[in-house]
Amino acid sequence: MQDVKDYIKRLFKVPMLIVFFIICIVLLPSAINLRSIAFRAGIVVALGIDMVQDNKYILDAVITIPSLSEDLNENNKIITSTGTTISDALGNMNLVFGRAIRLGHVRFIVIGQALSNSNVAVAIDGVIRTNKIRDSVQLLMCESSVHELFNAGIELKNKTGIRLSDIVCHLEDYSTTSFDSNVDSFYKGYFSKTKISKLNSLSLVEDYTQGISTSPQEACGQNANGNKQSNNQQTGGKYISNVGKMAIYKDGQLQDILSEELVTAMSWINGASLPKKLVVDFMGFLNISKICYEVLSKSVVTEAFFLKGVPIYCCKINLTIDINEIISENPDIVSKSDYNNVIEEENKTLIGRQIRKQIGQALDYSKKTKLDIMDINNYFYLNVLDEYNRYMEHKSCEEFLEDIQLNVDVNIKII
Amino acid sequence: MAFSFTQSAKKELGINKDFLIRNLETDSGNVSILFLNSMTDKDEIAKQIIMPILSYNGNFDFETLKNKIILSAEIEDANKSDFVSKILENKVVVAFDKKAMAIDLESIPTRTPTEPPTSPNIHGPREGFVENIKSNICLIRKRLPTKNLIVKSMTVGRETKTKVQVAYLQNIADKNIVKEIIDKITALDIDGIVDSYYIAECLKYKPHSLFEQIGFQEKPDVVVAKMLEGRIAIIVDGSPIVLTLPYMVFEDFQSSNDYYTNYIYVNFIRIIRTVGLLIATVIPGVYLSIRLHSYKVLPINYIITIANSTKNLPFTPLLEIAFILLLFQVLYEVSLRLPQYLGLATSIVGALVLGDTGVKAGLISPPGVIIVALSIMAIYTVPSQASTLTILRAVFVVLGATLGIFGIMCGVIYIINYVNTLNYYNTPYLAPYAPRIASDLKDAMFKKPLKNMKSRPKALNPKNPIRQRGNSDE
Amino acid sequence: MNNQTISCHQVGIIASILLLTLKFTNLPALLYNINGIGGIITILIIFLFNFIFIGIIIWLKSKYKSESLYNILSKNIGVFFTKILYIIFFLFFISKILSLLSDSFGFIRDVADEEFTAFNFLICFVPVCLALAKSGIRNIGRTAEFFFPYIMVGLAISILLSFVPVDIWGVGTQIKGSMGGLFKSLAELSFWNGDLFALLIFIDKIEIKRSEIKRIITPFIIIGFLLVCTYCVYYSLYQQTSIFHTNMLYDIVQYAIGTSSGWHMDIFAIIVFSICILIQGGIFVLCANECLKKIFNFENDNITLTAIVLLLIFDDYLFLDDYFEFVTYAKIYLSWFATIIIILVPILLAFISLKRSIKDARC
Repeated sequence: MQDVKDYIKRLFKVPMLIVFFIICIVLLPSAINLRSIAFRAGIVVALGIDMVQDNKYILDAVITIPSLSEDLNENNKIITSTGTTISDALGNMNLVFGRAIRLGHVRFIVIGQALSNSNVAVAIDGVIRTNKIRDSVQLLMCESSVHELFNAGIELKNKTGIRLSDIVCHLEDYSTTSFDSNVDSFYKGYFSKTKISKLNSLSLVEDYTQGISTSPQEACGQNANGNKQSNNQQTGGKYISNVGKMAIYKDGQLQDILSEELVTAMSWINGASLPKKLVVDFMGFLNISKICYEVLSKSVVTEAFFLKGVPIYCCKINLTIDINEIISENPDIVSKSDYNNVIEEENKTLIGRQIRKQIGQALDYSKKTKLDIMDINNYFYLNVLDEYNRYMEHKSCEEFLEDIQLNVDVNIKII
Repeated sequence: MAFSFTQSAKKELGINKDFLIRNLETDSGNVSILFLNSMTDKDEIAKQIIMPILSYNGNFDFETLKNKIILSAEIEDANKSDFVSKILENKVVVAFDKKAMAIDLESIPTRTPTEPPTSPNIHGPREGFVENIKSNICLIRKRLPTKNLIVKSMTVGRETKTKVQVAYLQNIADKNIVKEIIDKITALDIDGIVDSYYIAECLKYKPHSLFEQIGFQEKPDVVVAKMLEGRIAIIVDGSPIVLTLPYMVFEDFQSSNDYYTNYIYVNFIRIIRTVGLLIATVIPGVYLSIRLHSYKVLPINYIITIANSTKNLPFTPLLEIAFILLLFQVLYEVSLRLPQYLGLATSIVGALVLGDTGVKAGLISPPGVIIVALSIMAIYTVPSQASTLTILRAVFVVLGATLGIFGIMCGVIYIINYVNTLNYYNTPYLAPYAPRIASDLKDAMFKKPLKNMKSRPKALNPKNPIRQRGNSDE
Repeated sequence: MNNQTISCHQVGIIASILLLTLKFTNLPALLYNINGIGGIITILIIFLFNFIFIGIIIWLKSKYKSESLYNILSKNIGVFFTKILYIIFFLFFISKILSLLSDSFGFIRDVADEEFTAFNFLICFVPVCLALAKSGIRNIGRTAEFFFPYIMVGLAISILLSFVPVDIWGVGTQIKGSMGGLFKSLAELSFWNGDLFALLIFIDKIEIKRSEIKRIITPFIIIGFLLVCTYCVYYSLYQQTSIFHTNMLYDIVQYAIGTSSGWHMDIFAIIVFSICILIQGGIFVLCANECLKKIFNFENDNITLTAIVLLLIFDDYLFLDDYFEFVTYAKIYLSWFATIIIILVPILLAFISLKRSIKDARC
């Protein structure tokens, strides 16, 4: 008894030992029985949110399930649940799957067509309010059903090893558009002056020329014999299409889906983006019908000011480009030095004209649809706040677009 | 009745077979030679004592016998109270004319100084300490032929009467620390000292602490280097390990090879040792915390790979790691005690059992084996801390499994704070990093070339801080 | 150096950690909400205030040498009023600890482990803070000194990692601040200020030599610079959405590496933040302990530390609603207090010192 008392007295001299014993007694038994989180929780790698009848949300989650088998079929499963709110749907998903759902490894979120017609910001608030999903997670819009897209993606991975997440995340890197299309950029647009957000858009199409097939036999829409095969029996004829389109949201609701040409036009005056290619129509000049260039670098100097009460938006675009391809009926134009010496100035004029035309088309589109896709309002708001506020006392953002004067100056260096 | 050395010795030691009495009858009287034949050199007794006595012409008294006849170099007086202990200290006692003298003709088995197995050198000296205290002192003295080297001797242990010597450089070492050490050793009242670790235990401030408080060295060049920095060496008879005080934890990150190699390579190796320390202590706990709690830290591919290889295991992650750790510790203990000729067989069995069969049987997973094997190997980047790190590893495994990454961080901070409270012999444990002593950073985790080391470590409070003069880069 | 004193370098490091920790949690979002990009100016002004406060500490130290704050105050304004002041100081430190606990718990649960419960958090956080407090200011100083390079490197790496996606010209395209917003933010958010008051509580344990004043200021300026850089990067990265985030350091790092690679470098943020909150928690518990000891004239740490533990556990674990209310009220009503005491107490001490100098001159 005395030994025990001495032992306890000695223990109290080192209180951390007592804490360690408490941890061992209270927490260790449960830790001994705790399975790895990969087996007791569902780790979601992709999330899809859509809407069904009665304004209910439908969540599709691609969950990674560990497997010993070589067959990749087992590794990803789509779990679907519905709910009146996103949190409700997530809770129901826990029940459906039989394990807790963990969103820490979500790489992208896809918004379905049906949800895009209501307020997306309200919908995704349920998943991003906590830090469970990172703000840098890609956010995309799907022009068809999210469930079908995920099914196609899983089949693509199972049969070819190409992941849907690789395609989606590559959008971030490949600079056709180089606009951020993530949760944070969505909310930046949502809370901006114009309330315009931009998201990349994917779709499932029937046309083999537009997308990647989920069949291993078809790389680009042709089977091993080289014949076109538009009906794919395995996937029901769907091809995942990713051609650089962009969905425009205003106040969280889908307004329009921009074509690649408009997106390229927007990217000319966006300082961060770098359109990779430039195709200029020579209209038969010197028997050249088209020249394709690769844009090596681009810098944009933008200035916004008011001149005699008129808002002026000036852009000076400096491009460095290189020729990739000349489409011409004249086979004699093969030497680059010949070309450079003869028609460089004409070339620069045509390129400048084409870029200005594209930007003009984008502005016309903005005026027509009343969607400030080039963020001109935002730029004025952030850079010439006082004058802008004065100008906008009795006007709206759409009316501002009508009054705007756009000056674009393009300097080109061909190497 | 008059006292007789011979009678008294027979009474006390007569029962021992190796106790011998040689009586010489001379004209001046009986000379008795008392000795233990297992501990003394009989040839030298004959050469230095018996022959000179028997061949002496004329009468002699005790003083003549001591100063002129006996040829030995080391002779001291013995009296009736201590002559028996001197016989037991391997001396030969010569009794004549009711007086006695003790002569050192010790002949005990002793090893040749060889390279210690735990501290091999590529360049540099290969001598190591042995069990004989005289040899050890000799190894130190030959490297410090200076009058400033002081060696103070004590005898500790009622039965073992072990010789303990405290060596220091009087112009460098802190006198207060020397006094404290000597006081502690002389105050020790114990029946026997068989190894220097017994002395180490008495010199510790906190005997119950997990952390080392004293340095243990096997090589004389290392001990001399430490003495030149201001430390004190304690040599114990019967032990090849010499203690050095004061102790700082970063000493264990340094090896003797570091001072005989290019300093750039040495810095790289010291980084490896630090990384090894972290791997040894923390990695199993971090692995568990990632598998059980903090799954976000690793990319999904790694989680899937680990999960795929652990899918059908009967053990949960914590039990699996504990099981593998236990197996490796058992293997380690077995390999320490096994005869050499069985070592190969055991290592094959151990490798097969753990590495192959266990995995194939589905009891343990390859990632678990890799993590634990890495941790066990990495402990020996800093071998002197192996015992501490093994316990800490177990603590971090518990913290990682129960409280995750944050629990491990709390554990690390608590331990660093705890070792900061250790201020043994007026020297901070984590010097020169806490408190930060800029001049001592030249040879802590990173090392500068020798010409930059112009001063002794300030953390040791040396009396004479300058060690190198000449053109200064500082 | 005495047994329980801290050196100049350690003072500088402790001051840096006190400056840093609570500025990483909700403060950036709140500042942006009130004053837009002007939040950077606000944090710069907070840094300058704290820098001046350090100067005041150095000046006070030269006047009072090794006298403790309690002795100085009790000799001049009486024991009773000193104890009243110490009760207020104690409440201030307790509210700071609770605020630290709530922010840290939220961070750990969101970032490291979603299943982390309040019990798990308290069982590791509170004992470590108590152990730090019990070991004394010297050992806290050494611990802080040991971890300081890792804090600096972790912070620098976190900022550099985030630099890649930042549109550095985006600093200009933000919601602009105003002078009114600046004063409003300083007034409403001053609860997040005043951490350096802890240095005044153990002013007698600081050893300052004139030749080493640079060693106090250098780490403080480096950390202040890194803090302002972190704010700049954060506001550039998130712009209008800056108001949504509750942990700045983690949020800028987790944004940095794109989702394509899968590697999440937020482990740097977790490590830096964990070290800072534990050391800061230890310092605050130590200060609360000192105050309690002086109020009740206890010598023994065990009783006061036990009382603090019980107070924290009851507040956190058993009466969670009241705890949140307490912290909310503290952030509102004690916010002015934080600014007042760190200005008033040095002025009071300066006045006392002046009075003493005049008295000595007359004698």
